[in-house]
Amino acid sequence: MSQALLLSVAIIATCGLVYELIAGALASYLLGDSITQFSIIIGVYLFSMGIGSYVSKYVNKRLLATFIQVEFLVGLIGGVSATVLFLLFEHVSSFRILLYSFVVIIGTLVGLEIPLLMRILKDKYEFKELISKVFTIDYIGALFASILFPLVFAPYLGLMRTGFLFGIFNVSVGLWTIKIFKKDLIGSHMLKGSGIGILVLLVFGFIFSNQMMHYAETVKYQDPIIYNKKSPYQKVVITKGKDLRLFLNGNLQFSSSDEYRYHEALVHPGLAAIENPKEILVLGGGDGLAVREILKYESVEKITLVDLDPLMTKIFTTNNMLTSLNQNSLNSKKVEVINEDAFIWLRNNKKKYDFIVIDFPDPSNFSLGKLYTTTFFKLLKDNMREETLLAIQSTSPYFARKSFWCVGNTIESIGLKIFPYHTYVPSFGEWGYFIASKSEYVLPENIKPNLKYVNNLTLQRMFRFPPDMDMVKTDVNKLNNQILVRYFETEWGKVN
Amino acid sequence: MISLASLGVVGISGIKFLKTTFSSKRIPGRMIGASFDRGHLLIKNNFEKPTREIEISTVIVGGGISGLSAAYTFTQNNFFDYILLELEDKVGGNSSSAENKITPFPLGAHYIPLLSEESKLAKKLFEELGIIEGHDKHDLPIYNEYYVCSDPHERLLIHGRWQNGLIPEEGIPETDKKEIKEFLDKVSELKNLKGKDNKRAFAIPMEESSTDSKFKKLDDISMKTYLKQNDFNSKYLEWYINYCCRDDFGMTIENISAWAGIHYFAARNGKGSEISTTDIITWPEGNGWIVNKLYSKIKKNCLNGKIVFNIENMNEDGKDFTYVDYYDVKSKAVTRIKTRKIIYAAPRFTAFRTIKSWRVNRPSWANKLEYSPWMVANISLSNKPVSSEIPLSWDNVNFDGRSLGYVVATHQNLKSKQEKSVLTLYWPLTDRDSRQARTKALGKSHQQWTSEIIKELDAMHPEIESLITNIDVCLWGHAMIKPNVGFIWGNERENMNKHFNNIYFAHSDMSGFSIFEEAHYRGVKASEKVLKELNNG
Repeated sequence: MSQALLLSVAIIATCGLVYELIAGALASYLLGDSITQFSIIIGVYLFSMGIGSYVSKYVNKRLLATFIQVEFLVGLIGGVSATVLFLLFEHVSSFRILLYSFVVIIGTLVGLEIPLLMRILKDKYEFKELISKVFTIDYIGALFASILFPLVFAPYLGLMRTGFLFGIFNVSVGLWTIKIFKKDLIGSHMLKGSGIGILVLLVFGFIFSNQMMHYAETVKYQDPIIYNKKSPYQKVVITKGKDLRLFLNGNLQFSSSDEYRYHEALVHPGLAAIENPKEILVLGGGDGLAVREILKYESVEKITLVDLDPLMTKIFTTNNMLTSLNQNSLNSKKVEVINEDAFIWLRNNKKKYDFIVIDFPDPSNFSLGKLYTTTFFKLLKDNMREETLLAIQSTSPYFARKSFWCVGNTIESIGLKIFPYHTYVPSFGEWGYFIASKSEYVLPENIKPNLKYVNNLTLQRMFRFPPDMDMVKTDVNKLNNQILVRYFETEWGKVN
Repeated sequence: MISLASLGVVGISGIKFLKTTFSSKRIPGRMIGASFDRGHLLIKNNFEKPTREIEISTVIVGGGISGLSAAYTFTQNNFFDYILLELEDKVGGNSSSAENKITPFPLGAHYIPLLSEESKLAKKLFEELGIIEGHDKHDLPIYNEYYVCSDPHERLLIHGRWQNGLIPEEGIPETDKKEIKEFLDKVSELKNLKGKDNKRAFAIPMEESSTDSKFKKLDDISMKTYLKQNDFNSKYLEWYINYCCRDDFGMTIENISAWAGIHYFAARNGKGSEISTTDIITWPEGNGWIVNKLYSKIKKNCLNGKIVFNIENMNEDGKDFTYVDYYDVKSKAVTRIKTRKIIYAAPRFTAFRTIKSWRVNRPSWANKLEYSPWMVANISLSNKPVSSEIPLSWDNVNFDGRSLGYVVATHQNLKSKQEKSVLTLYWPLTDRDSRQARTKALGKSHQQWTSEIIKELDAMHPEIESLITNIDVCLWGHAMIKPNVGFIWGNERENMNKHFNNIYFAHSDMSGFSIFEEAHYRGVKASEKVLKELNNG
């Protein structure tokens, strides 16, 4: 019997340490700066255990029942801790208060466990024997937890499931104790009932934690998240640290500190070369930043923006921080926003435009790769007049040289002339574009004044390619070969 | 301590068990496919006497690809005095398709390889339907790029990993790889091989193949024997060939004629402008796309839901004509058509129930006809299954699977984001005794099929069950004629292809295997013959 209780010491010790590790890992996950997080969590946790030990002296009656209740409580609170913290992370104003409340409560309860258990066991062993046994096993349990947690539990079960699993262990210890000491307990049925209730809850949590995780995937961002929403098409996250950053499906789209470089380079080399541009088409670019640049041309009468995701265009039309970044461009009377799939929309649209901007995400998968195929560019060609210019972002000619030139070669293969250029965007690195047209493109000389990056001098430099980014031969990207996605995967695979 | 560690392990392995126990919801869906109840009415054949009689020059029985092609040929020749009678509520036969909120999807045949040089009739159709848009400077056909299967094409799960393409490579011993290459080289040589008659050894349509006896004799042995005779022993090669035979013929290499088996590899020499010979033509709804196109051009002459149960050749006052009696499933009325010519484009085994004199005296070739049953399931998903390093392809196959794997119906659509999808799982029931397989398949409930389907998919994607929102199970009792040893070049097939008085036949079973070009060829040929006969008198 007492052997069994000693085994429960091992389990309790393992569980206690695991909750601490979960809190530490979770804090460094969500808040960053793992040294600080771990250090403070460990400190607060140990301190709380001290509180528990102190409080234990006030437990005088029903020692065993109290111990069992503590087990159930630790199991419940420890078990759900990771899940609750993950789920509430995006919804509470001060996450730290919530986090440390959990740490204090769990720590206090865990601090109660050993003193109570030692008092239960005090008549079964000699004092020195008891101290030696309990602490030996306690520390072995701690070693056990600290090795298994990073190697087995965190990688294979994840934090949420690990929490539930150890919650289940704690509650099981409680239930087991009930079984062993049935005779010594008054009202064991009530206790047993609540224990089983908690156990069922934890088992369900364990089984369905994947589904819950789906709602709580808040990882990998450096700066605090100020906006996080999943549309049917993508996960949109905006973070704000020193700068404002937009992530789509975890990929950085722009940083407010240098996006002007990217967008000025995307728009002005082409648009400034067109005499009296009136009708403009923008594909992608739901952030309204390319539109902001286009609106600098007074002659422009109408901008049609086709972006798949209504959520993107909505937040960039309504959110103050974002509309100040795009200078309220999407609210301009000249702009019509169409939330449709560009490929399908283009198939039914035969209108001609003076200038076309393509600002799609990089061809990182087969669905996006379709937007860079001969089939797609042929459709676009039908929307171009003799003098229409098309500007397209084409990933990095430095990191993904073949991918970049593959876009150009694909456009060229359907009978358009291409004029490649590139620029340096600090948060992205070296970035590339093409201007494509049916006729010759001549560098404009009347660049808008007051641009932050593009002027006549930078413009000329953009069109010169150093040897390490110079043209390479590639295949042409088609629907039935999707060669661009393969280039892209290989090249960016090496970078990341 | 150890007990704790083992508890952890038990916990991990228990997840799956608990998950299946707790989340076993009943998956909705329907049983669809060939209407057995309608077909089986023919077996009893105790219909009422006709209550009205009409006269039409020609009747086409059956609205699969061959019947539709016959009708379309009539229409193209400005001949409209015909009617097509289809047993089902919709035409299409094996090439039928359906649609749900997510996408159109195939219920059967779902792609066509690039057309071989002999497939001239099919080529003409492709040009008329816009599948071929013109020719380039080398005179190669330009296939409409929206219909060419998008990349990535195919992947195979083998030895626990996905690989590109269906020919086993991942973790295959070098000797097997060598043998696979030898086989493929050999059959690719056969592509250009010609007989004494200067025809290619293997062609599509198969009637264009050389009748040189040195090729025809391959029909006398099974594919398995052929492989053995030629010293091909690799089990991976055997798997691949067997896979191809199950896919195109619904048969395994043990029983299939070696001529048919090799035909699969050696007949196709199609080329296209700027596409590879291995490219294929497909649509979200599979060959249902062609069915819908053809139907839109002939629907005025088409009646669905009509069971033809009696065909009687008559001779009165020295005049030849034929009665065709049909039962209207909806109104339950029986109508008699007095007609001059008939194109019988239903599968031939039904003719022993409908053609009066064959009901009494079965022709000698009757017992040579054998058809393989298929199950085709359409599985709607709330999300596509998670991809490994090899992405979700158009065709996805498991080396250890019992089915042929699944095709993704949304593969050809151009949306840059589509989470929901429909997978079409193909499952030929290749038991040696097709009749038993058929009975077994029809005896299973939707739930029984569903659990087999999930098991099959689960082996490829452990998370699949939670993604499934619906499963439609489509059973084809007589999906494909089986090219058993001796059937292709035997007398029986030759005899069954002759017309019977006013009745002309059109169906892929006359070719010995069920592919689009054969069905189309038979349909066009029959209607050309009928037109000629009608013009002559």
